[in-house]
Amino acid sequence: MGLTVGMPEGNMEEKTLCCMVLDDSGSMDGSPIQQLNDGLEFFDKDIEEDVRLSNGLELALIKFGSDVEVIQEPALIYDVTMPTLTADSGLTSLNEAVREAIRTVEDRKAYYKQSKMTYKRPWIVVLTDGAPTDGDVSALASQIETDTKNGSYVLLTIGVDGADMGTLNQMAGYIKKEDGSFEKMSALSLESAKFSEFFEWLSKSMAIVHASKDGEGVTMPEPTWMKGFVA
Amino acid sequence: MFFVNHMYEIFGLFSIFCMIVVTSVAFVFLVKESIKTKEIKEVDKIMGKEKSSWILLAESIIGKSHLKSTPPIPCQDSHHIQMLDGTWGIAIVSDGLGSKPLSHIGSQFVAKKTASKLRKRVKKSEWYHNQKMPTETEWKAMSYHVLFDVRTSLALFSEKNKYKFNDLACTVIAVVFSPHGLLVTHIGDGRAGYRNSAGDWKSMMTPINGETSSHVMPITGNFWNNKEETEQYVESRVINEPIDVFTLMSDGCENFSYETINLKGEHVNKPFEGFFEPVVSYFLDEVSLEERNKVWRDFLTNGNEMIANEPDDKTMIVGILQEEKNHENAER
Repeated sequence: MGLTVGMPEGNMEEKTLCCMVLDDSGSMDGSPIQQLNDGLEFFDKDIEEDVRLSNGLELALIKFGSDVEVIQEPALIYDVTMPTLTADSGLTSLNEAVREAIRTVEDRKAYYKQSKMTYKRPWIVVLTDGAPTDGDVSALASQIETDTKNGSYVLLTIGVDGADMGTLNQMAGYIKKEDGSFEKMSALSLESAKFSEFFEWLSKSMAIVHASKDGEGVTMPEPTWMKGFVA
Repeated sequence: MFFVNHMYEIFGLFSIFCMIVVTSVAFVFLVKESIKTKEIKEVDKIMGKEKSSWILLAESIIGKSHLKSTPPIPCQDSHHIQMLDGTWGIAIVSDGLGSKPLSHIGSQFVAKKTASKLRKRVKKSEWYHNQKMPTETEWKAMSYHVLFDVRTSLALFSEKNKYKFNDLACTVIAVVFSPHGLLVTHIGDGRAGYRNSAGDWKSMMTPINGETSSHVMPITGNFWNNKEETEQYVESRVINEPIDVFTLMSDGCENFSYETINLKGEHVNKPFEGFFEPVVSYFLDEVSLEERNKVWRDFLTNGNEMIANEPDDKTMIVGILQEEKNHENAER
């Protein structure tokens, strides 16, 4: 066939959504919130340097303390101005925040489908240093189990110093292994002062996920930011 | 006794009566055939069998997902073209709703009926006889009447054939094209655009999608009794500038030929030059009259990976105005 045509670029790039759920409760005041802000800036710059990823990775940000607020609706990094978070009062509305993240992800997937845009499985990354003050997480954990086994999203729970790791383990999602069985992920423990390494790991992980083919197993970079990590 | 005495007269009168009836029927039949033949000749003329002002490319291709279904779903897209004269014509695209079992029948009916009803009204209009574009008000009124008429005809058709009316649900895009400009009216989604004589590519309609693609409002929808809703679901526009290329398509073609989302993720609505400029040049300069239909069909089937893998039905009409110097080339 002698006729060759171009492709409209914007329509083409497959989308990957990363929805970060960030604790800005009172206990994050001081060094943790400062490191979180530095980490977000680093993440922003790192993504923008990857041309392909910056055309495909969408970021949503939800903060929670006493209240839950979507401070950034899903958007490409070009259109995101990273916020500067300040510590709220003492409460930690973790249940509500994660439910809001799930709603945000499902709404965005509906938008992708309506716009005939292809997309990778979205990620929800929950970062907290406390225990939820808005009730038991059992019902939410049950929903997360169903959703992650259905492939609706990937959910990572990251605990900063002092976090209730038991609750975060309960909430963590499932991943499908090569043999088709499901494995529950463990909550990951972020060593203090390693927020930057965490966000560097997250941006590299997003790049790997974005470049992967459907159904392909992916190998994440080593999580050097984890407590007790040994290379 | 009367009948026996006048048998010959009665037989003679009866024979004359039969001859009149047969002659009338034959006359009507011949007139209709002549009109059809004239129309076919005009379309053939345009589609490449004789010299004409327009190169017209038009095809509907079944989507990959339809072929994979069990049982296979027929192509639910339809299209129709009718010429009004050598330079004015009507182009229609209709896309049957995927969820409706008889939407392929609905779209075929709507495509043909819209063309014929529009033809009748345009041919009677003063602005057409003056070779000018109507006002927005004139066109809006005409397009509403035509589309409502088509819907009514579809309802009668469904009754006659004992179909459920809503099972015939489909969208429709109707374009009246001429070198002076374009008239467009549509219900539902799909795209339509053009290149003006200055070389700028523009859209002439905005798809009406609803909240999700499953909420596209078809011509069978219940919005006709309410003026506000009718205006919400029926768009009509007059493009009053000289043009040399136009296109209309079902939504199965928009991902590879239209800019729908830019790199920032913002909705845009513009024919993609990188697609249409090569198509225009290729068919103006490289393809003979005889090959046009096949080349266009093959291209829309598997012109590149994205086109080949499109799951939805694909219908695209492209009209390219030939300048005088190109008439010789067109008859290769």
